[in-house]
Amino acid sequence: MLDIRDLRFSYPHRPVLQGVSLHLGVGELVFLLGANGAGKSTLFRCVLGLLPGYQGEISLKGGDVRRLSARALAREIAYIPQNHHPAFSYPVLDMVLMGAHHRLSPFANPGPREEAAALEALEQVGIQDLAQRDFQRLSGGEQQLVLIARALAQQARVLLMDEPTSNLDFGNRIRVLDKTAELARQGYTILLSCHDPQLALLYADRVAALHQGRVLADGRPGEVLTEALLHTLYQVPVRMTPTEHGTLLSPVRRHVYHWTPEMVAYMEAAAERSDFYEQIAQAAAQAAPGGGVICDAGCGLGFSSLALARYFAKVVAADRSAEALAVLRRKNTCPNLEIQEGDLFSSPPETPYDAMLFCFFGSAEEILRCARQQCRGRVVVVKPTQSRHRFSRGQVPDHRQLSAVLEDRLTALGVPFDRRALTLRLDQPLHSLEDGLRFFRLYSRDADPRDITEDFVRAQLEPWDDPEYPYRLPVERHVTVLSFDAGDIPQKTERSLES
Amino acid sequence: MERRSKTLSPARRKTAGQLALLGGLLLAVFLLSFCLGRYGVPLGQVVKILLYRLGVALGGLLGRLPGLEPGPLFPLARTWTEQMETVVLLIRLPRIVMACLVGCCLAAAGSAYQGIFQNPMASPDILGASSGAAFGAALAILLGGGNRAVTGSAFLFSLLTVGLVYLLAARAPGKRLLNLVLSGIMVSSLFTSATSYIKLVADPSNQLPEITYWLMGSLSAARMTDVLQVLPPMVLGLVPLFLLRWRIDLLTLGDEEARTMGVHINRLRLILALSATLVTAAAISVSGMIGWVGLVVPHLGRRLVGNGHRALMPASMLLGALFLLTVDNVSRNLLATEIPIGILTAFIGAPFFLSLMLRKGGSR
Repeated sequence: MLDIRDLRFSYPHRPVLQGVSLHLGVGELVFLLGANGAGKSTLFRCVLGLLPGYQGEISLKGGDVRRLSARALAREIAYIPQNHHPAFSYPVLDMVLMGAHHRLSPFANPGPREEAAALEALEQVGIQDLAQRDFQRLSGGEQQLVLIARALAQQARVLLMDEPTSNLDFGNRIRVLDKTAELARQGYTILLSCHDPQLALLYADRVAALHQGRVLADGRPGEVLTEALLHTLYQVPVRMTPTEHGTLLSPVRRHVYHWTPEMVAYMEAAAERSDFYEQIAQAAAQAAPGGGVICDAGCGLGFSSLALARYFAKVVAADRSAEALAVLRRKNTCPNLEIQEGDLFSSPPETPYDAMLFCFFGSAEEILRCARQQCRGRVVVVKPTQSRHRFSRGQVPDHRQLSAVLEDRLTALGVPFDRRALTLRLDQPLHSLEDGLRFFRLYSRDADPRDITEDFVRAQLEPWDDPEYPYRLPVERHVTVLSFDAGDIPQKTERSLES
Repeated sequence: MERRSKTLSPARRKTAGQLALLGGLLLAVFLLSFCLGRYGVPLGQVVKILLYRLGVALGGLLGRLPGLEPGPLFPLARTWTEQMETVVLLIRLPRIVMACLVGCCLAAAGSAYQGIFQNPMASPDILGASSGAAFGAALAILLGGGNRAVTGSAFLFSLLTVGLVYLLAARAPGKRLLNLVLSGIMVSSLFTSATSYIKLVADPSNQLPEITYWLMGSLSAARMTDVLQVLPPMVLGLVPLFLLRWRIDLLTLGDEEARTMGVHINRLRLILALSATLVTAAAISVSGMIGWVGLVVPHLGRRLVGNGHRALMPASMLLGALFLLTVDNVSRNLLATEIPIGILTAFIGAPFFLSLMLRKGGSR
């Protein structure tokens, strides 16, 4: 029905569409996904003949749309704009009547025949009761339905819908899309731009993903929409969960830890008085010999980065938290330690790293994707073996952080890896019994502070022979060190990233 | 099914009724206006005189056809005096017709401009038509031109100004409508200051009062020849405005949306703006500066028949004629000396608009 071939369009000094090809069959409901500025609106405007200066071809039933006059084009393609507020408000019936314009001779006004067609269109959308109401006084969902009815009154068989759901509440989105899907079943060909991939999963016959002016993926929603594709499109992590009602999509909030000066002081005291990070650095150096450039991904306060500096030619300490990196900057005395602030996943280095360390950082998928993209040598992952959080009593915060998840994933993908279990000490030095009390209350957010009594704390502590810290809390951590070659990670986990 | 029948829908029938009512009201005020004035003429006589004259004119026209000799169509006994006929036909008729025409033109142009600019605050002055006309009239008076020269010059300069505004806006990059409004403001103020300069150098004993009086707007000088002179451009502008009125609705949706419904927006907008400018220039050139009609009357029409231009345009035309005729009657009869109509329209228009604005704020 509608055929777009190698469409290119540039605004002055800014290319927008760089070779878009898309084919819409009769009765197909195609969702156009893409971030803001990906070129969705520009694509629409090209098809609607509003931007004549494009290259490539747009054809309708085999004929070039450029040869059609505005009136002839209106006969074929109807545009349903985003919900808007015209300068003057008209009754609903008058709004819908406007769709008849292209059928009237130059000076004619719509008559009873057009009025009957308009009422029929309203009936088709199921809002004939609203005919005499004022357009601006309708709810957003009703307004969108009126605009759809107007497109139906236009009697074109191709509908272009520009973000019909973006200003609607939860229920109206579903109602409008239900109606849209029904129209597709009746044989209308519909191209719809949308900002919610979940709705595309639910309603689309086909999904076309527009990224930086190109079609990144085009196919059935269940096949095309992957975590990797959505990450590429929107630059945020997304999780997909298959359920009996279809696949559910949810955004993942990436946490940035917030370190208070008090926490930093506790952590510094513990790190300086134990060989925990030294042991991890040694394990990393053994797993990734050669001593090139290593990236400490998600370095946090950067204790491991500082320890790594002795074993590698250059250490890049990367984290999203400016607060944490400020602490590292203060402590940093190593000339070969480079601090990089920002989101690791969306800002790959110019040349891949020789090695990467993920120390208590990243989910399995994130680690695999990031390593494949940014590393050319060994990947070292340090994960807790037990699910129990350091100071929480009994509760399991996050199973995904466990090393077992990554091990399963590596096995499933057939990536050979080395595994080493370490038991390390990271004792917490404390100034006094009150200090201990404060420490427990700081870290036990899941417990009622009244449960943490002085007796409870005293039972946990050991005396120590340091005059500054007469007490310590003994902490034993069981960690697993996994290491593997980034080159072994198969391409197919991130097919859409590469294409 | 009942709704598929060929009759008008209830909403349309209601609008048609309202328009008919307005027309009837206009006819009543039209006839009544002949009675008002220093020399009173009873209403019955007015109707008789007009009917008789109409009959004579129509009969004359029919008489030109071969084989017909009808004579006067309405053979009424002449119960009126010669003086009455002179007052009604030579003094009051041109003035009353002119008031109707000017009011109709300004209101029609106002609602067209409001549609074109998608802005309820637009008025016929928005593209500089009135300041251009003022300059033209002042210039003609300064150069010692007669009545006809003043009218012609005002008309010409009014069109020139709008043309200049259009050209300037077309050359500027960016949003078309905003450019039009901005260059309208700019060119307007240029011509206004030029008019001020002419007033400065004009002879204060006769030219300056004449300019000032022209600027205040008045219909007192209207003769039948004036009416016939401005009628062609007015008709030339009003007819397309009337015929294309429904398409103004589409234009108010915004350029891109209208275009996707098959509207040639630039062409349509140009025709509408040209027509609106033509009628504005013609109206102002004979009446002088009469403000507010083009802004207030369309709003009154919106209150009455809604925003749809299909009903709004005829409603504005009728209301405009009605409004200006009424105001002119007041200006003729309120005081012993005539009050310039431009002053009165502002006096009535400004408070009215204010109340409209306040009420709108309350209901939204």
